Amino acid sequence: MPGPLHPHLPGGPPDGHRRPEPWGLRLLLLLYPGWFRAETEEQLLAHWRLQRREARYAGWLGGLRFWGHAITDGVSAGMGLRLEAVQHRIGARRGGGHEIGSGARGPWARGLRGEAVVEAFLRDTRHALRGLAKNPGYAFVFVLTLGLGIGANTAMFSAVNGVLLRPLPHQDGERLVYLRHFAPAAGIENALFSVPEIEDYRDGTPSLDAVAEFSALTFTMLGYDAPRRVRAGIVTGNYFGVMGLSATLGRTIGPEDDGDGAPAVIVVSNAYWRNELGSDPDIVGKTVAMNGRTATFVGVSEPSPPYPERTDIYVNMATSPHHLDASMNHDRVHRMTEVFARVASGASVESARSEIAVVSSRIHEDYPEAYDAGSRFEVTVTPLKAQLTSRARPTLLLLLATAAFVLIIACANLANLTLTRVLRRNHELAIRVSLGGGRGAIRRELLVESLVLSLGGAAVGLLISAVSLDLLVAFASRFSSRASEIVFDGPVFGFAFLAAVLASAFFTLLPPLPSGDRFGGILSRSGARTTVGTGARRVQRALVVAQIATSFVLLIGAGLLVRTMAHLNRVDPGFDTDQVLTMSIPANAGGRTSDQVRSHYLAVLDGVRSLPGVESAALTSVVPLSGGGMLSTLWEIDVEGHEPAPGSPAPRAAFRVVTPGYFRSLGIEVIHGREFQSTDDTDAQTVVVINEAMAKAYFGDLNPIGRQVAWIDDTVKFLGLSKDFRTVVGVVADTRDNGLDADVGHAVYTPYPQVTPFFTDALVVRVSRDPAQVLPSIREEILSHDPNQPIANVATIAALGSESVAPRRLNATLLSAFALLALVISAVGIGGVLAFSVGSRRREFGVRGALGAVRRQIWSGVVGEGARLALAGLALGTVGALALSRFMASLLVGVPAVDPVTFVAVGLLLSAVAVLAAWIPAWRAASVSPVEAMAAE
Amino acid sequence: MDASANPTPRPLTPATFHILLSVSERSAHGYEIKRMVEERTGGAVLLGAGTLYAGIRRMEGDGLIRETEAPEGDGDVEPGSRWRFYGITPHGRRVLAAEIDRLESDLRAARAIVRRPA
Repeated sequence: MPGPLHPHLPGGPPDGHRRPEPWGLRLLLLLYPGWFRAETEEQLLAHWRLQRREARYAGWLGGLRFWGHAITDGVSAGMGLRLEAVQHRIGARRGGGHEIGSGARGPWARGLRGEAVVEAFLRDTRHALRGLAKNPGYAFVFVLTLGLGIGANTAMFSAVNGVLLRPLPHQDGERLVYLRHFAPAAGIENALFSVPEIEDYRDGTPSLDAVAEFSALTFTMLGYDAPRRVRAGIVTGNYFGVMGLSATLGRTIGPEDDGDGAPAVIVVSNAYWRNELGSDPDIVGKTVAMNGRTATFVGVSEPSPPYPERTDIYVNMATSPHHLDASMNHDRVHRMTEVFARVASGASVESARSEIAVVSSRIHEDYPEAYDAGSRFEVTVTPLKAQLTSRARPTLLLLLATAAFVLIIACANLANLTLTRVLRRNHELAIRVSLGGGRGAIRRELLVESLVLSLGGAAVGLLISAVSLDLLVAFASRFSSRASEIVFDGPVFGFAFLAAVLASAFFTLLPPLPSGDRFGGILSRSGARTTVGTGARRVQRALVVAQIATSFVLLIGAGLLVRTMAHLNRVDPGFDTDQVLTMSIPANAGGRTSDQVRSHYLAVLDGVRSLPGVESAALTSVVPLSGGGMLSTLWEIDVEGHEPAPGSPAPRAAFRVVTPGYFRSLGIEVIHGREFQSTDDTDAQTVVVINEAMAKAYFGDLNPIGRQVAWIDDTVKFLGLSKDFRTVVGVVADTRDNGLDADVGHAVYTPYPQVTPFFTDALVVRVSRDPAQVLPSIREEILSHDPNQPIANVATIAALGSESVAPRRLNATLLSAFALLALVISAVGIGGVLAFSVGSRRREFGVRGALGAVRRQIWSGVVGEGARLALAGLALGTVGALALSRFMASLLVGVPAVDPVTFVAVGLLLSAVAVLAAWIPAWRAASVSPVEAMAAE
Repeated sequence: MDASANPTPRPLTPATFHILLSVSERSAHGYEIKRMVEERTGGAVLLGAGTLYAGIRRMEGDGLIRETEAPEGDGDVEPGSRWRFYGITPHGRRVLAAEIDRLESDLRAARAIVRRPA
């Protein structure tokens, strides 16, 4: 009878051929009780295969419908069947006289809802625990390995969650944006804003309903206890409102604190209050002296990630005399302020961006002298959350991916372990299956056992990451100020649990089980090995290849970072780093004139120079390798005889103020001319020293001595400099002041007496002995001139240099550790697989030996097997490694992303390891005595 | 306990009823039965694989259907295949007939009520 009722069965009816069922259908089967599966498994599978082809289940939507129907059907039917069985057993126990399999087993069984399921689960758990107790070694290795893998992943995930994923603690944090004013063509990363500019932008952007200002300055705070150097953020009254932050003690700064006449108030940041002020509960109302005036503490703010840099206290404008200055408020080029804003409801970041672009083009036209066309000033608007996390994102994601890879590799080993264990029980399992026990029951046992072990591993993993939380926070704080928000909360636990469940599902479904058909074959040992053995061996090989590929990818990543570190180590900073101490000694400017401050400093300098153990000392405005600070921006210059080409950015250089002896103290070579002398003071001719890069750029090979350079940036008047030309008297070697991975720029050094002394407050001292020994006498000398002098940031230049590359070094170390761990695990995996393979082929090796095969042939055969696996892994891994290196490009310095040296080196390393791992199994294979092997069978 | 001595005719579940109906004329295997039911009810009754085979098992246990050989003349199905065919038993015929009677009488009672003026 043809027609739709008798569908041609393209998928084939269930027959003698065992087809590997897809894992999804295998999972579906698990919904049914074992005894039911034993009878109907093949029909169910065939039915599902046909059902899937129906028109209503076509396409991906149909696929979803298919799974929805199949799962709900499976759950209800499966439960119904189990309930019936329970009902029946209860009925039988009560002496109802029914046998299972006949009689009225009505479809109306009710009551004792989940009993069957729970009972079965408990039984399996008891059984699994007993089985594991007999094999404690296996359980221990499993839980420990999985624990390490899950622990690493949980730790990295908690970092990713805390830093990248969690919403900001600020109220309505998604509406917060950060404005950045920069000039890419001139190399200026952050030009900051001036007050007139902020007013222009504020007026012209209705999309931003509040615009707050923040300027960073360092103040000396007197009167709390010892003189303290604090990083202050001078803010407008609407700052806390815009940022959505409230006070945990007292109040925040508000609009009533704006204006010149307002009393000076301080709000302490939560971190500073807790760490440096001992969580003083009486802080509100206390007063201190700052900048020559009295300021009152009015509150403590709630915890929040600081941006753009760590802020100890927030103060209002009235606290900073500089901010009340007319020039600050009216000078368009007096740029000192950061801008935060809140997007109005109904508006978007995009609308804000376009409005800002309109304002920018207008003011660029109206004030061309403030915005030279070549530098290409522009203002960007970035959501604050993205801004806070941008630096951390590539690193954290890279490390999370790395940890995930290590877990995968470890799971592959554990899967192999499980496989081996299942194979050893093959005999028992085959008998159970052929007697109708059903593969499903075995899978369920495996599942419970895997779950028990995996959840144990998850617990160990959580323990490991909890213990290393402090380390993790310390690590992450180098990349993001949100590191303090890394905690162990719900998502982290959920992640560990999910990892455990996925791992156990993987271990359960992976081993191929004996099928019920091969009754006769299984029960002879060799039959067992060929039927299930081949399938299992294929799986094992695939796992090992995957392990090798993943290890390759990780090793490449680690290798690239290591090469970057090596490159940075070779970079010549341009100055000596040994035996040079630096410290920051900001003068108390309050109440002193420029001349007084200057003579104070020079007296201190003389005193320090005369100390035993001090070879030379000098003052500078910027400590090398310390990250610059306010005076590290580039200012406009005019070089005699050079007209900037139209359309190119205005010439700029880094501004540096130094005393005589600076270059000697740091070991910077004077290439032409001379360095500063004590005769270069206020009355003498104005002179400068330039660095080699600048000399080459402007004068080529000609002698620059005697040529003229002028500062024409408007900002320089605040330093007491005129815009007159100054004479070049010397050329010095280039230095990498901004860090070993930054470019060398142009630098112009001005002698200390010819500049207002308020910003030159770093002392560098070259010592002939151990710096730690000389330091106390230096401190004493400084304090003898002013007992209230704060001395901060004491460090050797070597330490600063090391610190500047510390984040990269940490990265490289962590990644290398992971990669080596992966390598070790993979080596164990290769060895284990080959050992198992050799073990099961003892007879074959014995025969070959008896037939005269040379030991070396057998040995190289096994090693060759290992090498083939390695090559397959390398081929696969190369693809992944290419993708990874592209992703990592932003983290590399001086090393190309696709670096042939690294690739070749890692490939050789991995091959060597594979061969080594194959050594012992190969040796064992070669030394199988033919007589023993044959006898053992 | 002899299944044929089943005293009180109880209502059959829709799945049982439709499966019984499908094999009342000739034997069929699981998937065929599902398709027959879908066609007959115009897609209103979709038998999931679990419901179907669990139901078949139960009905076998209750003696309503039994496993049979593949019906002759069924050229589309390969000989020696593992599809299991089911056919109705005499007891099953009786149960089916009783169910149809019950449905008819329920329907009559319902029609009498619904036609009455409010």
